[in-house]
Amino acid sequence: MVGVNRVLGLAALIAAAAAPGLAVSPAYAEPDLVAVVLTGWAAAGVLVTALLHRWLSAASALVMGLPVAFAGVVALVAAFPGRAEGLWPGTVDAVAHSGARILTMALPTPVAADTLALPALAVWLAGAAGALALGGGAPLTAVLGPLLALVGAAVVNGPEVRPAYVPAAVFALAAVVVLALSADQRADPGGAATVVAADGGRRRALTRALSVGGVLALVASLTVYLGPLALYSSPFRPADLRAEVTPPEETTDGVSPLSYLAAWSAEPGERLMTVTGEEPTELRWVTLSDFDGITWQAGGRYVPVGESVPPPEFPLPARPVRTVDVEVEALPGHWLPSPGIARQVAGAHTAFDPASGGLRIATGTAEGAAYRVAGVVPQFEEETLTTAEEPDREEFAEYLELPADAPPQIAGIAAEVGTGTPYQRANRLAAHLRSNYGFDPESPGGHGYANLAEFLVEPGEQGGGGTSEQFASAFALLARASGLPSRVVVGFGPGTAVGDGGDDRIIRSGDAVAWGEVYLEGVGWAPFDVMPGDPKENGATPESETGAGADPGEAAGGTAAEEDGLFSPSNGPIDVGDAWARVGRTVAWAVAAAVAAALLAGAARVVRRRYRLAAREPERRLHGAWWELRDGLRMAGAAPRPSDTVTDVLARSDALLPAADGRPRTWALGTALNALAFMGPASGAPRVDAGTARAAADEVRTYTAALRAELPRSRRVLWWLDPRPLLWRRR
Amino acid sequence: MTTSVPHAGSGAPAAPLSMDEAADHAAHFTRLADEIASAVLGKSDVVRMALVALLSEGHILLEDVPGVGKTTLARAIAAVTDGEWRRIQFTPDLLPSDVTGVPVFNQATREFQFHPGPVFSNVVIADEINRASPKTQAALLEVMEERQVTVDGRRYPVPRPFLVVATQNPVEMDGTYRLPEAQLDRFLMRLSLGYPGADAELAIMRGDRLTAPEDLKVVADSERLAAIAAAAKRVFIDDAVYRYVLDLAHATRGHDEIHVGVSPRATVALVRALRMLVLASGRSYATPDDVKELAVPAWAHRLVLAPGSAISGRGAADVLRDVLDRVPVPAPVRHGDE
Repeated sequence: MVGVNRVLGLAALIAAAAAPGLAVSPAYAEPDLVAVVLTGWAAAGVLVTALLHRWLSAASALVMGLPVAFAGVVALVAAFPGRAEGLWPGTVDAVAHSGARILTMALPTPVAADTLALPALAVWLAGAAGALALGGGAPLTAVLGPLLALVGAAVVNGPEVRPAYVPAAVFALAAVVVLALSADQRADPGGAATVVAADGGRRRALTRALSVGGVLALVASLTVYLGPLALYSSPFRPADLRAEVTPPEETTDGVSPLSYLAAWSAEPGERLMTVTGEEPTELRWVTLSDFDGITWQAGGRYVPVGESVPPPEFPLPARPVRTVDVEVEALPGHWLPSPGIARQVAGAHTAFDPASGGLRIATGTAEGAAYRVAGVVPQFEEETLTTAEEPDREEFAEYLELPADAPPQIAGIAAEVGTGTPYQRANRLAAHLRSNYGFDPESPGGHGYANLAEFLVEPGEQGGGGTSEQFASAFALLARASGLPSRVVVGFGPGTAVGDGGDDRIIRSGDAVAWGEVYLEGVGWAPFDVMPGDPKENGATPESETGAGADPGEAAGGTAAEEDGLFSPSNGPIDVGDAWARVGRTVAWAVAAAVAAALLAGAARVVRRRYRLAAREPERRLHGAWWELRDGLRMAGAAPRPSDTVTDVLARSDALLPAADGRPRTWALGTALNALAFMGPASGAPRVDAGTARAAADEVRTYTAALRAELPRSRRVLWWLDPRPLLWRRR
Repeated sequence: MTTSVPHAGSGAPAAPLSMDEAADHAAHFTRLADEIASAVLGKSDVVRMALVALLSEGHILLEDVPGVGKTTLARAIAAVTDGEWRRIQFTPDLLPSDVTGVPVFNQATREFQFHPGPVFSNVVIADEINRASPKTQAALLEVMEERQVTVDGRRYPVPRPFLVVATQNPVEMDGTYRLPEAQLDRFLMRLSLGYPGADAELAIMRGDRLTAPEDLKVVADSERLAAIAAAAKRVFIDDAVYRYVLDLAHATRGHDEIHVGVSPRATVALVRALRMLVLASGRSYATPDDVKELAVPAWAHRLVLAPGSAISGRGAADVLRDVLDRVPVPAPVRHGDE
């Protein structure tokens, strides 16, 4: 028995220690895998320590378990290599940096040794400490470690990850089992009643199992049902630890990517990268939103990401998704091209800026990077664009910033745009640039105010030619001047196919292009085609296909497509009103079920009473009367004890409800029942005659009715509806 | 008066007792009890138990303070059964021969002649048995067990029925020789008269409803007694009841508060008394109620309590009642419900 309890206790402890692992697993890119791995760690922590504790002291067992845990980390590194190369550097990196990695990586956290080591070691330690405490007879201490780990998991998860109600319920159940088992051991009395326990023991075990099961179900349902309500009915929200952490910033090399365009335009044949994809796709490279009067700079707050890239901060449909393999040959800086806004990256450690949607190599430069990237290239509908509203100026102040000393042409052109929806105004600006200025691949680089002053000549005058560098910059600044949030994007055309029929395409410097984007409320960042006429030898422009109005037929996805439930908006993962309604429905169902069960039980009891007291066979009728009397006494709170003889039970009945004359009743039942049971085979006469049986049944019927009438009203009502007598075991 | 009582197993298996026979014997038993009760007012329970002990060939240890009617009870029992009674006051200087009798040299026959002691009577009252020396106690206890006195190699059987009523004063224990457990085991029952109820004591003082033991009528002669005893042996005891007695015995043996539980001799004794008690109730079969009724008188004095519980002031009877409250009785309905 003790052995079984010990095994059960360890199993419950494993469940308790695994709960924190289950709680953090939704934050990972592969929750199931992480849940399994961390549960394994919890089990290993508990079992290894418990095993070591058989031969070693508690402290030694804990310490001697650590090498095993360390070996586990090595195995993790081998299975899921992290950022650091090699087994040993990887292990050291994982142990040293996994906490920081978890917090600085964008959700969902990639599954790698350097993000798993911390939770794994935490559940190991929680399990190990718990096993030692349980061995030492301190069950409350045993569940403390897992509880702390669970709290830690909740803190690390923050508001973005699905709340850990189910792991919390798992923990609560496991803790109840651990505590109950040890309480059971302590309460076990010192072996009295050896003869007695033969049958009673099993029944007590069943009763205990039932009541423990009931408590567990109650705890679980309370945690799962009322936990969320308790949390989200209050103004309390978990703090976002990630928001408090500043991810490691990689400095830019100071050169604006826009500045490369002039040089690339002059030398269009330079190989920049090879792109493999099913169809030719334009690539987005860098998004530039800070203009200081001289250059556009790429700012942004890049967060390391795993394979899954978190959604950007602006609306973005879920599709269409384009996937390409990119091999960078000679790109400056650390930005990585992607088809539209990247959603998944494999093959390189990358970082993502949710504000601009830009993708970057996490460390080092982009040169030599080879990766597969899937991105969303939004398609727009003319109608949606036309009716889109102007966004909140406060929110987009950053994108409306116009440094002082702008050339007067900017204000002049912006003033000519007139009124209309943002889209109409931006379209007029684009049309103005397209129709009044020419493309000149030979034009010198530069996109500052000074350059734009030369570029934006009066219509009809000489000069005024430029590359997409000047066009994009001019468009963005004009848009800002007319009150539209805007930014500049540098990207590449689809490039040239290698050979025939292959999917490989080479992107050369001549494919580079810049364009402007304007933010439209409810739509997102819409690109605008500002290049005049047909593109010349530098190839296609992305705007021709994805630009405003160019392709209105394609179905536009809704903005901000719903995620698959993994991450919820931070204003509350559940609808409190809906949750209360659910609780109400559950309660209503429970009440209805209870009423139905009570009615059913009542019917069953009435039928059984008839069957018992009106049985034709005298012997059965006598027995029926006996059981009815016992049930009645038990219902009235005076259950006969196992040590009560028939006479004792009858005396008890008399004491509970004295007869009208105050004297003990003359129970026909007592004598008849004793004779039936103990008279033996002798005496010839029928053991019980029909008259006696009827008398016994009648006296029991009268007695139980009188007993019921004595009870308070509430218990009188429940007398017939109580299902318990149906379950009371006969002996 | 010497009457031999037939022993069980000394013939063909006895036919089961019929209810009519049982009622007949019970009527005689009740008349005996009623007659004695007219001399010992308000103590019908103890009188019944004492009669049960007498008829099942057991002896009684009366533990009581002086003056509550121990001697009266013994004399009344002797009177209604047409027996002789003797009383021996046990003192430290009492010799075994003062109890059993002595051989005296007869000048006329020139032989030793045995002069029977006071034990040679039907009812012997051994007053304050714990005041005599162990040697004298042992002499009496030997007679109780053997029902004969052996002097100089000759055996002198005591008359039948033979009932020893030994008394002990539980309060005053100075200068006494406590009866060893092995000797306590020889008593079938330990009873206590206790003080009479208020009504009974008033009646005793007035003396109106009270009959003196010497005025009691003889209700049953020795033949009748032998018949009752023989009938008791034919009382049916169900296996479940035997089993219940065994469960109780086991429970005393494994009990925390009991150092030494009851012996097999005690279970046998209980069953012997059980048969007579059942018959006295006019029934032909035993029920668990009868066992419960007999357990304390027949067993309490045989238990040796563990030191802790003896100090806590709980008596053996209290502990035994706990055991009775814990051990499940055989269910009157054997084969489940419905």
